[in-house]
Amino acid sequence: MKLLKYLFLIGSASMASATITMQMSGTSSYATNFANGAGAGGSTLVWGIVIDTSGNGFAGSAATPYMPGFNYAANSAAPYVLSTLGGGASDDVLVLSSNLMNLTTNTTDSGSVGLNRITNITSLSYTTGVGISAGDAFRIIWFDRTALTGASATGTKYGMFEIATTPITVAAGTTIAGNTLGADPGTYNYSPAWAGADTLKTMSFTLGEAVPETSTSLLGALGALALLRRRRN
Amino acid sequence: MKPKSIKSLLALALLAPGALFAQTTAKTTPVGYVNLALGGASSVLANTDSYVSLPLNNTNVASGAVASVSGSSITLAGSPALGTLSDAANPHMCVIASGAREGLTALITANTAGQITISVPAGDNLTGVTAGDQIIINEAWTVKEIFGATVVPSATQLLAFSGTAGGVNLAPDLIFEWDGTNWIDTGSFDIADNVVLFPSECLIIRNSAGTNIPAITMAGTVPTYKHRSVLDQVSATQDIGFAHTAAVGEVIGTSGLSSVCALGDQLLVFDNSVAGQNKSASQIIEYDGAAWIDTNSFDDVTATFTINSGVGYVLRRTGTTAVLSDTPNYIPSL
Repeated sequence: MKLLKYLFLIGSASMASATITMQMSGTSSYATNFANGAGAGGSTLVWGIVIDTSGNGFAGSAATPYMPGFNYAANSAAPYVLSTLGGGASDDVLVLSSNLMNLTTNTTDSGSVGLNRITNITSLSYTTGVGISAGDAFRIIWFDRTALTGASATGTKYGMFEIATTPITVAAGTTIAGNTLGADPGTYNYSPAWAGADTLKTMSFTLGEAVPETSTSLLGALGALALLRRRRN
Repeated sequence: MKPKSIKSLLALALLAPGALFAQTTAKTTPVGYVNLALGGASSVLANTDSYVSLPLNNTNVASGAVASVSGSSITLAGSPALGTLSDAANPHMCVIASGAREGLTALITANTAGQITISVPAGDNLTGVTAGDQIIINEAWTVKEIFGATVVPSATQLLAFSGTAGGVNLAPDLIFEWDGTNWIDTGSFDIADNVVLFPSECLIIRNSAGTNIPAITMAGTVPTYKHRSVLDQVSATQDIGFAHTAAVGEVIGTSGLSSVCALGDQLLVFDNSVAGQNKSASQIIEYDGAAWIDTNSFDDVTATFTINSGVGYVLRRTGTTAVLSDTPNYIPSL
């Protein structure tokens, strides 16, 4: 009987639920220069990460952008499975930070102008049934929106940026590719990936609206030019 | 964790720095100091997370008795002539030191010369606090102050739990980082030097440098009243950063935990003498409904396992929010 009771105790000890915290900016390396839809800083924008849960690459692109349908209220506790234009549900999962981008420049910043700093993602759970796991690749995603309220809508610009795969030490004894998630539970510091000046990162995508690829646009323009020349001839 | 890892170096019965209100019995407030239990050589090991807590109160500034209570405001007996107690740069805590809510500790949000308004912890209340109950007012511990004179390397972090996330195996969701001048909240990048820390919190000092941080000695006043803390239950099974606020360790069987725990609840113990970050628990003490069992050995440790002073733990608990109340064993001898 006593053995049975202890077996029960052992069983009850293994519960599947855990969280991680991701720190993007530290006090010496800051993740900055995420521009708004107009290509400028100075906006406390909504940001988060998109996680590729199947390792097959990110479904969202300029031609097949992510669809609206999620709310901007911080959803780190309830990751959202993104759909793409014309492609339906993907295996990419959106996790928004509960913090807006930060404009504080109380310490020397590593960016040239120190605009729009991303901070922490907290309480990210891998056990919400959407397939997130350690080692998954992620990208920073940010939206041309300044409030963590309301529903997303077609036409909102957003940007994506992927940290280099160069291994970084996110905790003592834990070195992982800079664009991947650590094991849970854990508190991981990605700020070493942002050492030095950060380049300006602009928004190249629009929720629910395809943006022609630059090469496609160029070809279209060339085609139009050719037509004009033929008409003149 | 070895019981001897706490070096409790109490220097009791020194002086009474706080002003005393009228109509109270004058008595001294014991003060002392405790080296936080940080593992080998009493230091925060290099590249290591150390689980700590606040075993003592910060400087006592006043003490006296309750005259009346209205909502979250407490009028004090006599003419205490209190100064400003709610300054964000110098926050203060109120402790109900006797009566039905003995041990209730709350931040003072406003005050006049004879009345304080407090932020009553969610899950607790002032019901039963009546005229004559003792009140102690202390400076609050803040992020900056717990390190005292100890110099820490830049990028040292203090990790904490907000208590808002549900579930188990929770990562700390508050990160304060030392930039060489100030503590910075890495969520907001505000200066966090004066962020208030609470006595029953589990805190984690993350040393990411290659050298040890020297011993952190906390000096303050010794709690002379019951430990009282709210065990917030955000989900059915919840990990709660936990510490027993007392100047010396308390055996788990007399800690009060048995009265608020159920079959299968666990106390997770983290070994500060083992180097590493994001460490898993080194020891799990589980409640079987009657006794506390060490799941490594399956020995009954109800009377032998000590919840150490100055150490942080994680309590894995089922049920609903509850209030833990316990009289530390050393109090009758004071």
